[in-house]
Amino acid sequence: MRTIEIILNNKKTWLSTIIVCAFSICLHAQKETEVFIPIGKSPGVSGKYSMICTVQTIQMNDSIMTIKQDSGNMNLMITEQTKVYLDKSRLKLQNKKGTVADIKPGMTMEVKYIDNKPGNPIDWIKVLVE
Amino acid sequence: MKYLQLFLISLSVAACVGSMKAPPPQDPKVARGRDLFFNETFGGNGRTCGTCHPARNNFTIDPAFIASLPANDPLFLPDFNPNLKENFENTKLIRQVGLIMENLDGFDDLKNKFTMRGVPHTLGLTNSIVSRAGPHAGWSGDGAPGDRTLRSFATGAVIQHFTKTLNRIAGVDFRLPTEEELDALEAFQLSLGPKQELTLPLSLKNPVALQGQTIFNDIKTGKCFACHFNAGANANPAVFGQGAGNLNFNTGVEDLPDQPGDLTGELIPPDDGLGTPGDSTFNTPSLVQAAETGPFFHNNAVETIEGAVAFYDGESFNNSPAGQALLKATGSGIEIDATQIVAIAAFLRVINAVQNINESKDFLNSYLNRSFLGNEIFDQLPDRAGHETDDAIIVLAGGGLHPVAVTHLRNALLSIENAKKKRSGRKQNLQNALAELDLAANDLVVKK
Repeated sequence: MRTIEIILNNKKTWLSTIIVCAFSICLHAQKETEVFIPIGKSPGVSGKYSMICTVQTIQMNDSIMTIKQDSGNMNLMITEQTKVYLDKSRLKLQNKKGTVADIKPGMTMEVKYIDNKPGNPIDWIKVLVE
Repeated sequence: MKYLQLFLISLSVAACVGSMKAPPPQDPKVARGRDLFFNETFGGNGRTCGTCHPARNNFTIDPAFIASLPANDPLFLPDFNPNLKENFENTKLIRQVGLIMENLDGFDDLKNKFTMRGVPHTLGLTNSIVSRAGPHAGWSGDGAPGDRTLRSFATGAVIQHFTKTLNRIAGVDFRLPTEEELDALEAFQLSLGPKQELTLPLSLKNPVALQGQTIFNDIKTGKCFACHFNAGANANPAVFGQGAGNLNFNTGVEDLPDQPGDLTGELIPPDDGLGTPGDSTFNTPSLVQAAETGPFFHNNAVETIEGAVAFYDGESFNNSPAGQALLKATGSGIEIDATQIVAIAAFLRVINAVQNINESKDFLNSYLNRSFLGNEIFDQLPDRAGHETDDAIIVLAGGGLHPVAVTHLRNALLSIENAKKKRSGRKQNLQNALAELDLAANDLVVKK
């Protein structure tokens, strides 16, 4: 009983110190293996939190990419955290990490966007290299 | 009294969070997942999930088990596959320390950028990978690609461990699991080990283990219960809030001196834990079957359960961010003496043995009743019961605990062996084993 009281009396202290100092909340997926997963095959993501589309335009200055979908055009935001992967698996070549500079209008790509964030920031882009 | 009520409410709510639903054993996905887990190579280098998670070694590997494998086991691929000779695994570290290679921070510098990690078991996953912030799979919680779930974990594992070459080209070096296969693999893994968390305190009969349980749950001494609520993998809701589930901590394991891996002289870069670059945190494993699944920690730094408990008394932990937070929160670090360390370890050994006995009984009852357990092959059930019984003997005898229970367990094992050898009298032998297992259980815990 004494122990229980101490826990509860100290609950705020526990929370403030331990949460700030000691532990990390996991917000990461294993992005390093993601590069090797071809377009449309990312488990639990493809078809749910991503879309396969064609690049319409890229405005490098304000980091906006316009993509073309069946339902029309959509603007997405490229951030510093956005990863670009070059999917060469159809050529039976190794997939590579790329940069936004590798993305050209007309290319097919899969875009994983971050849900419920203003401006539709992009988590990663897989560009099909054929 | 108000505090007690609050605490009890928090306990009852805690039972509802931090868990996934295990599929029923009869679910065809479980049997399908078992077949995939142990037999499917995904067009790769010959490894299966079972290569590193063998059922006969509690779904993990350790140097003693590894020493029993033939030289051509897929675990040792670099020794005989020229495509994987370099930068895929270090077989010296596999053999001596049970460490496997992971390129968690990227595949762009295979020679220098990697981590060496132990293989976590896959038991009791229903209660160990759910957190408020999403799924926690793998040692640092970020082991799965895609949506981070256990279901997606297999995809990352195939890319990392099953590849024929270091090009890792899908469709050439391996094939990725299909949606149906991912569903089945998840179902099988969720079917393994305990499905429910313990509810502490248990009415343990051994005074040392009983004292160990008290210290484990004491805020002044062990303080273990804060992060291992009910000896599981989830954080205490009274401390971290409802639904915190599994959490990552930087406990300073990386700072331990004289780690076995380092003593081999092989290159082992520092492991930065969660994320890229990492934040030096690792997730919290369940302790229910810890005693039988050493070595301990993400880098197999400590061989024995006593040593793992003693880690929290040392400078590496008490100077770590987690240790310092505990110091600020409770006014002291963890200072436990040798007798207390052994007592906590005794508690962990006993709860491990109780789980072994329960599983062994489940296997035998399933065999005798001819009821279907999809995560096991029917004819192998007595064998699996024997393994669990043997594990109980090892964890208890290893701590000098419960000699009477150990005698009953040895009798049970003998009866199981006799049942396996002789068809005649098999049923009676298995019933005798069940009776001996009950006697062993009665020696460990006061029957409710």
